[in-house]
Amino acid sequence: MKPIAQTIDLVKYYGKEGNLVKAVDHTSVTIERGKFTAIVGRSGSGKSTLLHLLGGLDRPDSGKVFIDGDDIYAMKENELARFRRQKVGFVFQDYNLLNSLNVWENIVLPIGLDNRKVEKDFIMDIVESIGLKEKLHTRADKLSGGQMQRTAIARALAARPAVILADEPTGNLDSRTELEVMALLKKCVSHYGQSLIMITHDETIAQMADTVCVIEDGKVVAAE
Amino acid sequence: MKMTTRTAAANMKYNKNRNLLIGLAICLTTLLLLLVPSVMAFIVRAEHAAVNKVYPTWHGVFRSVDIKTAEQLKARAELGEIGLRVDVGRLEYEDYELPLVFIDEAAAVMNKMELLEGRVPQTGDECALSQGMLKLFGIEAGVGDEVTLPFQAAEGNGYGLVEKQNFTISGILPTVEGNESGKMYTTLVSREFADEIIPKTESCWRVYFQTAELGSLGTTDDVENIGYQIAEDFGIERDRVRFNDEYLIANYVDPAIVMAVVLIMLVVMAAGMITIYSVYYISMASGIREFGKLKAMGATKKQLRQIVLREGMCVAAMAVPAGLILGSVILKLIGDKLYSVAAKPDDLLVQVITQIIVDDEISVFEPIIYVLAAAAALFTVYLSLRKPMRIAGRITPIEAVRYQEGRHRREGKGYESLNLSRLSRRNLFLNRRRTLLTITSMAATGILVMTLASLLSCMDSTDAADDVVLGEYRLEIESAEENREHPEYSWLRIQENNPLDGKLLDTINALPGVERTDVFQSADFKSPVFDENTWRAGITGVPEQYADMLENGIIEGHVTYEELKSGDQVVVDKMLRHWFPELRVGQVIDAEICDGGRTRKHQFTIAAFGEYPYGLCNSSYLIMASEGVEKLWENNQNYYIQIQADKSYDSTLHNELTALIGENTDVLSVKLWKDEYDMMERTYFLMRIACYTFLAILASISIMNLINTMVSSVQARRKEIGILQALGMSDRQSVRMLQTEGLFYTAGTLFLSLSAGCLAGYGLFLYCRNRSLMGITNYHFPWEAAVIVILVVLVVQLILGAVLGKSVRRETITDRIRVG
Repeated sequence: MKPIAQTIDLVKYYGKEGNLVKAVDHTSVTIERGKFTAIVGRSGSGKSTLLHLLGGLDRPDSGKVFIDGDDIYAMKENELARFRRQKVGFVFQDYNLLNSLNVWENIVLPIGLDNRKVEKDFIMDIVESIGLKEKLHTRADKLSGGQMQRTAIARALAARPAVILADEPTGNLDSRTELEVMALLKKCVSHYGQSLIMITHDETIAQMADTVCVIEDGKVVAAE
Repeated sequence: MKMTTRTAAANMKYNKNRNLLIGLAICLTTLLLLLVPSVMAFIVRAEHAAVNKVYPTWHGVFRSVDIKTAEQLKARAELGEIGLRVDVGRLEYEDYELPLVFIDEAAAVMNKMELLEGRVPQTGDECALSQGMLKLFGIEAGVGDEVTLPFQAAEGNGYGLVEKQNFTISGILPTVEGNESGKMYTTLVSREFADEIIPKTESCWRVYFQTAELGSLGTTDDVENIGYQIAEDFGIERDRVRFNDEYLIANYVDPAIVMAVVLIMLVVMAAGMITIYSVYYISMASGIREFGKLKAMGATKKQLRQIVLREGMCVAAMAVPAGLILGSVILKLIGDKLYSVAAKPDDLLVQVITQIIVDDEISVFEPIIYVLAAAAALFTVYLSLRKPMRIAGRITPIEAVRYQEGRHRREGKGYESLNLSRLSRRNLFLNRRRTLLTITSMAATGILVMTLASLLSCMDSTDAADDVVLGEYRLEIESAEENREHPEYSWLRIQENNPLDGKLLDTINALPGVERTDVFQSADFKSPVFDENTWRAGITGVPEQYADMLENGIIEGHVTYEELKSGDQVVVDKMLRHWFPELRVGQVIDAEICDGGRTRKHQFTIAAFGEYPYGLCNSSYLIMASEGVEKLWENNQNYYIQIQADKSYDSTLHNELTALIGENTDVLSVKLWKDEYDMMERTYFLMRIACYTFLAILASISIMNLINTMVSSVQARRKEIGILQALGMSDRQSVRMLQTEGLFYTAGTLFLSLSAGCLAGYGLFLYCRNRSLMGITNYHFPWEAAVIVILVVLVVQLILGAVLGKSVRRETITDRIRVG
């Protein structure tokens, strides 16, 4: 089966000379479709940068990234933006919801940006499965941390993306909510057949993944 | 350095974009606060200096008082200098005005009367006259010589018969330029001679006065109040008190001018304040968190307030001097050009003013105005900072962390699906206070621009000239009443042998270039309704060609031109109500028709009130059809002819019309549409330049506001835009979203500016027209200003959109998401 994501000799450095930080250093990794892949590593190991490069949020210094077979950095800015809204669903550590919008509006936002019609039944199905039916008209900044992250997961799923990229989605949550969110993410993979790439530094969460990539100093040192 | 000052300095550097905008707003505010009073003060001082050189220096004069009252007036403490003058008679020579006057030393000084040689007349038959006048009589004589002149003694309102009178020349007066062209020479005589001619009881003395103890801060109103009060105490009617308006206005501060300048400065301060305040308000969200951190670290309320104040004042400390320097440069240019571009070069006063400026006798730079402008600018900054200071001082650390604009917004159902336009609307609505503040503050300037532009567009030289001269030329009778030497100049005498007859009309109609002639009558009558002593009641006879104008001008009551032919009904110009407010439609006026030497009784009914150009009703203000006048008056009442020509001005035709007057120059004159037009053009030109410069600077302050709003909006929403881009919003989409928001500001500003501005402008037009102010007669929509306002706002908006779009692209998405 064609991999959902692949990087070839990917490089991203920050700073200059004495302050040079090799965030991603000649990394090649292949991620399977329909699986839950965890990228683990210590703080500053470059896992977030790798995830951002996989999601087309930043531009690499060199190397290639293929998502669902497309070389995303061969695309122009507007094409890349369209690619993000159609193929990628993001879940950030600090949720990154728009506080001016309510739960429903946050969820349908990527669909709106793509000028697509909202599939109400599908969205309601997601909303019910994440347990936010009662909060649909609540503004984002009135939600608890767990509710915010669930909204962010629903937003990531709503546009039926090829891959969901999650950047330490449980980092700001208590342990009980953390388990709830993880269960939800795993359910998405199985229920909606999504591919999930998640960053974490938590070994317990990494154990729940189908595949674990370990990253150190910008290089993938193990994949199991 | 104190912590508060250090933090303020650091904030100033950190918020450099915001402070640059605030600095520009303060600089422009200071510029206007300096320019407006400086220019006004310069004009006032220039005219003051010129008037002091040209005009007499008396403040007022009591006319027609007897010598006893005149002497008693000298005892009044409110009056400073007092000078006496009496017209003893006149010398008779052709159509020259040659008055013989006694004038005492104080009055001579106040009237700038100086002798070339000799002294003022002191005894019996002494006189002082000019060589120009001696030449007129063909006499060669000097001081000490005796001359015989044809003298007419003053008698009541006229003069007696001519008698030969011997005078001994005691002094020689200078012959000035206007003497010969104006056909007027004055001869001074002694008090003894005056007392011989003028009976002690005769109320014919003039008492010139200057008020005492009125410093430069006194007003024309103060002088007038003193004059009228003294007049009342001595039983002198108000209409016998005259004031030297040009001199007073130039020497004393007119409260109306002071009020106008203060009002303009308040508008400028308000515009500056709204801009500076809104810049602070809009960028408050990020600042508030910083203040919360400082408070958490132990900063007191007072310290936080001080940080805001010092940051603002530091910016002002740089912007105010910049505004003053920029203002000085502009003032220098204005000082040199003000009068040379706007005024008629052959105007005597303008020549004197220009010379005064060239000689550097007055300066456009006034130190006190600099101090006032700087103080007003700093006060504006302080007022703008009060609210931000209060917010900063009041905030608690917890509130600060949670501070978010629009946090009290009520929750709604929201949109079922989202698109760019809905996102923009959501942002504008969420931040509706900021949205409203920006639109309102920008529209405030827009409204002012449109209001003033409406007024300026109504100041139309063509309209003003059309108001006076209905065609291209106006040939009119110049009558003069109560001249006993020339009773033939009175209208009742002229009409017995009226030069504006059919023959003259035929000749004019035959002139090349003349298309049509319209004859208007002016017929006199007496009526107890009008004050017979002060009001020359007259009726204007309007020709049939103006029937539509007459009927369309009716604002109250109803009458047709046909009905006005009967001679029993009249239309009254509404201006007459200013003097006779009791006049009503249907009122019957008992009149005694004055037809040459004959009189007869008649009754007129006021059929309607109308609003007419001066050229139609002249100054009679009672109007009927020409046919009506011809029915009631037997004499030829033709008073003026409006001549329609094929060109607005043709020197050949002008010369031919002047030649036609020929021997009748004493009773006929030609008025040109072009002269009226040129005069109004010069008057309006300066006003337009001043107003549009003022508005342009004010608009610049307002544009700072728009720039700030948009820049702050993008700054404050860096993270939000980053999230949207991460979710797939393209650069094009983000620019479109920002442009949609900008267009909302634009549309809101334009809608308010154009609608409210035009309404206010129309109101101002009606006010001016109803009071016959500034020659305004017709409303003209200010298309040019409207187009300029629309273009400026759109162009600024488009440029801003493009610049902001670039700034959106400058950062990576990940950088933006990390913000906050």
